[in-house]
Amino acid sequence: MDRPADPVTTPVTVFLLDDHEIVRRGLVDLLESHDGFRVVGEAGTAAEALRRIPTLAPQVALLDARLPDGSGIDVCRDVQVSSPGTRCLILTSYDDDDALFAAVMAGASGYLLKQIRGTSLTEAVAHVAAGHSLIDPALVERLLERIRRPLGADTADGGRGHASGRAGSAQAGSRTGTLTDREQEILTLIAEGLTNRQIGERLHLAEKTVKNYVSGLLAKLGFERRTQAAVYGAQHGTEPADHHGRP
Amino acid sequence: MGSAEDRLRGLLAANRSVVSELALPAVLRRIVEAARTVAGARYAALGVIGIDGRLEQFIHSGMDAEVVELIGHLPTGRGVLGALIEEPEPIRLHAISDDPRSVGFPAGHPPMQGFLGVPVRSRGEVFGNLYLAERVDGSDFSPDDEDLVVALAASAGVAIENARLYEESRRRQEWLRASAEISRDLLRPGLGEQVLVRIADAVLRLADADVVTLDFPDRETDAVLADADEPLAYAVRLVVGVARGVGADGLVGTAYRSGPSLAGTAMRERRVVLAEASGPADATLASVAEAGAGGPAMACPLVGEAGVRGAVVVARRAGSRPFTPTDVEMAEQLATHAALALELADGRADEERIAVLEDRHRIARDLHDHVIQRIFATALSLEAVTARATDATLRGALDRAVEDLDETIRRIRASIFELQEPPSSLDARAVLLEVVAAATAGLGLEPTLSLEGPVATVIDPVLLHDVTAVLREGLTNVVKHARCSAVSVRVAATSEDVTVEVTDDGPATRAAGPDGTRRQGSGTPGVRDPADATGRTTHPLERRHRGVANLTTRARDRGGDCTLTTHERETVLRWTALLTP
Repeated sequence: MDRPADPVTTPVTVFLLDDHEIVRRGLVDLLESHDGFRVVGEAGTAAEALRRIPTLAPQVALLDARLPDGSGIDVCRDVQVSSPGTRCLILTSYDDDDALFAAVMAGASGYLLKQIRGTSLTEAVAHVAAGHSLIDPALVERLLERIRRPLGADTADGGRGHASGRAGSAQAGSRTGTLTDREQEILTLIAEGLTNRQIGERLHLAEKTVKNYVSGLLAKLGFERRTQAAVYGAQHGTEPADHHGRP
Repeated sequence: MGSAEDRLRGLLAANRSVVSELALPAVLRRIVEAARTVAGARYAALGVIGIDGRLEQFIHSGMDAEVVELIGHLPTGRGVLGALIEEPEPIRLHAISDDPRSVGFPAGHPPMQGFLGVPVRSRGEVFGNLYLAERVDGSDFSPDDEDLVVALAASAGVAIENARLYEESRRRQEWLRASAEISRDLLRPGLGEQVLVRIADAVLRLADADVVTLDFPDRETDAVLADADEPLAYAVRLVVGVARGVGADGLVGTAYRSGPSLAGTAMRERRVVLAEASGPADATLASVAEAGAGGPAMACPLVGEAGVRGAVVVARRAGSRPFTPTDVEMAEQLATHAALALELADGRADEERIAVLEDRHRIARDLHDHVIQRIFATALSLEAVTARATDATLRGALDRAVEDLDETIRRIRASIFELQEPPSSLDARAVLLEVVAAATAGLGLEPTLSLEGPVATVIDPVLLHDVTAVLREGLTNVVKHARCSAVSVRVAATSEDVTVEVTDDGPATRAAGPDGTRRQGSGTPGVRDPADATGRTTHPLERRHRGVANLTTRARDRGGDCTLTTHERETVLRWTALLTP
């Protein structure tokens, strides 16, 4: 994919993945109100996005982190292999920590919170399209530290009168104690920005195996829980009507 | 005295009378009366031998109440009476005082010459002795008398055994009924603690105890016991949770060291332990002994699925008879009920908690999936329109609308976080929420907390320690010195630094100078408040400035700073720290 030499005359091509149609409408409205962007395609599910992005080869893909049939993280990692010219931004309506984690795990160029003020959406898309990353390496370092940090004891004094002190320490054990050496290794390579294929080559593993490791990591680090809740809801028909493409 | 035939008839009548009664106290009384009639004696008595070999009961007949009162105390089993206890064979004497074992009579005791003593056996053990004195006709007791009383003693033994069996079956029946009642109670939800009280009451009644307590490990140390780590389990403190019987009201809440206590031993060894308190200061039974039941005692462990949860302590007053194997068995079974009640209560509480959590998750998901997405989408559309709007007033209005929607999203996000995360000391966000909530509990208003940037990622445990200290100090000052109507807290994290801001609209600001800005630190002892200079008492703001000094030190150590700024309508405490000082 050629990078446009002049973004004013050649608009940045954008793909939208969000399970809420109303959000996609809003994003289209906003992006197309500027001359510099053109939304070339959209999808409501991970499966649809994976099918369409390689064909459309957009410059930037805006991916909702949590989808009824998977996560934007998995989509992002797949896209890096199937459409290497596409740069991804993770969209999330949770907090910065969650978003940063999702973006790093996805190997995305940045994240956007679902809010208008703060990082300008259009600026972020343009910035990423120009080949820059929005993620501060210092923060990635801290994120890894946080994941590996033996949580619990030293933070306990931060809060007063924790009734759940016991449950807390058990949780700490499950969070830090269960990452295997191989998972730690893969986590480091993910944080370095390697794609699943590159990690596979580096560690002499099949790409599919790396993918499984990533899923396992997400589950262990607590990301999967919320997604799963959403999937459960979708499968049991309690999700909103504006959900598209049910699994 | 009549013929031998009459006497036999008398014995038969006596036998009938004795075996036709089932309640033990009445049986004993009838035995005494029958013996007196059969032997033609003036005085008759039945001494029941206690566990210590002394006379535990002395049922007598033939002596006037006034005389009994004059003597003052009943025989305890010394002298000739004691001889029968030591050697359970009939004794027949012409005169008690002739016997070398005689110790004489207490003052006021009527003279007694002729004596006949016969042991009463029941279930192969000597239950007690029948004592007869002074034939009515003044003659000595004959060998015939002895034979008759021995024969009566045999049926008396059977009657006593029957009465005991009857008593036991009646108690078992009562115990079964209590058990069934408690089982029913257990299945009724919402009875809570009440079940434990009922169990304690049942034990108190059925074990004929004077006090019953249910003791549990102190909340803070209960985790330790579950580990079954011996030395630690020994150090656990137990607290009386439920108490019934004498001094029960004062007992609830009493704490004592588990280590030497009977309850502690029962819990560690997971079995019933029996003991006799050696006195009110006995460490094994401190709690119940102090309450006045310093006699025989037992403790049954409350064994639950996850370990021993506590113990039932049952005690009698000093001098009471010890607990029988039936008592123990019964207490043990009721303890099982109590343990079950605790497990069930836990199960119900878990269920409720899960229901609440599920509900919260559902609400959080709804907020996330419906509300936030729609607001965000609307804000996106408004933003798109704003870019095209040419009219400045319209632009301004649209901008404000977008900002409001953003703020709404932020608040909903905070709510989602609170709804989804159970309070945990692991997440910086959760800790900050809790600190703010705790520090402003007395304020009567809801502080707004806004967290910006990857707060949990940036704030490591050491920094979190500082940030929470700043929040506590800042908020405590607000609570103490400023009568404000709004407090907001902002914690912002970037890849370089962390900023904490506590803003309030308290009245302290009125005393601020025209520019309103004051800096703390720089080695000067703070800025003196104008109000203070005029000789009035220290102004609240002055005190607040002082409180800030130690926060300044914390900030400086991290390459940051701390300022307390007063504006027209608000006071802002702003604390910054670099991530890599």
